[in-house]
Amino acid sequence: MAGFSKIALDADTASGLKMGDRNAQATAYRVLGPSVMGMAVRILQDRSLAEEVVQDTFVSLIERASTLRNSEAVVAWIRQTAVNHCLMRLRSPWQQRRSSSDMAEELDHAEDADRVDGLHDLERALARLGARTRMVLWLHDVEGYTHKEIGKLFGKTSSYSKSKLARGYQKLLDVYGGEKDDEIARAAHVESACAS
Amino acid sequence: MTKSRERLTSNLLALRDGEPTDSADSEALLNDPEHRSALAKLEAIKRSLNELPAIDPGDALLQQILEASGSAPAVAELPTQRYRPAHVPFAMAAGLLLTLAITIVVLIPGREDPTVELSGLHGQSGNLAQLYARSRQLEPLVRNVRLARRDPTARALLYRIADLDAQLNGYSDAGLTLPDQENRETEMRQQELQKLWGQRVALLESLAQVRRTRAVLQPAVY
Repeated sequence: MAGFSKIALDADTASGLKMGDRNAQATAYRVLGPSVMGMAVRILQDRSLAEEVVQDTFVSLIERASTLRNSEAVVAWIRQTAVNHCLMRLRSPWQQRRSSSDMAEELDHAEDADRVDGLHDLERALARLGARTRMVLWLHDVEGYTHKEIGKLFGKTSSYSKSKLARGYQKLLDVYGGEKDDEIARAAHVESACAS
Repeated sequence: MTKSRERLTSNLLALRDGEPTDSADSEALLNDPEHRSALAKLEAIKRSLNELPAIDPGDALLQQILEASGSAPAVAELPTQRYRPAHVPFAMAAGLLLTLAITIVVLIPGREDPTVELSGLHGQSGNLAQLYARSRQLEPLVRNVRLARRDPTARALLYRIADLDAQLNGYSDAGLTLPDQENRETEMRQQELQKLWGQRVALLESLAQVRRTRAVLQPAVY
């Protein structure tokens, strides 16, 4: 599971982080790093950029750990910092050239999809979305951000987030929805078999 | 047509997530088998998104993080009661001498640096594609928060890069930097873009120089 909501950091690790304990830093990295990496890879669709996000996020954590109250605060802080680092990369000029907001959604991102090894079908479908749409979708559906929070993050209103999410899902339904049809039909079949 | 489809998807998503929708709309949606099926698909996709596995970034990156953060040994491992004030003056003198020596070496004009391939780019020159490529290559420097925090020169360079980025974003917003539109750009705008990207690369090269200087000086500082 990629989302942060399913992750808990133990209190010992959190207090170790505060004291600059190297073992605690390594533990925090091993517990939280996969979620940061998972989110960054899915949003940025570029492994080297995602690694940069992981690196910058954890370097910041090590520097700021003494100010974080408890383990919940560490997880929330890591998530927010990683999101900010992803957003910063989306805003860089050459990244904007690669996927310029709405126009990018019209482009074929098959090349991008091939960049990340071992992509699941859903991940291939995600790679075909524009970077900002992917980010909205991930933050809303996996990380549980509200439309208002997402709108604020992008310096826009909640309508922006709703619209991006709806457009993103339309695309996902077009390229990925067919596979879901089979799955839903199978589930319905099993349900009716159980009922009878 | 597209708008109404977007609105329909938006309503279905709101229904799926328990967000406020017009109750009449939602009842109509739920009574339509086609929309119910679409709703089931949206739910299934959300479930699948949440089931995507996390990705292990690997221990090599952890090592880089610990090095980049200058993470000292764990507090528990730090020597206690071993502070020897008598060594401090010697250490400081040695550090200063080393700093001075390295600074002289680093600042000698024309010194070749093996870590940077200038590829014949000198700020304003070089074609646009080369400038993009070089800018991208040096981009991680822009996000080196520690460098900016420690070094006022780096901070000043980063501010100037941010100003340039704002100008370049202005071009991007105007749709002038998309590859398929480059052919339509006037020569004057092309030159202006090239100038801006050239300045950006030159600033990044300066930032790279600052970082290398700091990296060399770091052991002496510690």
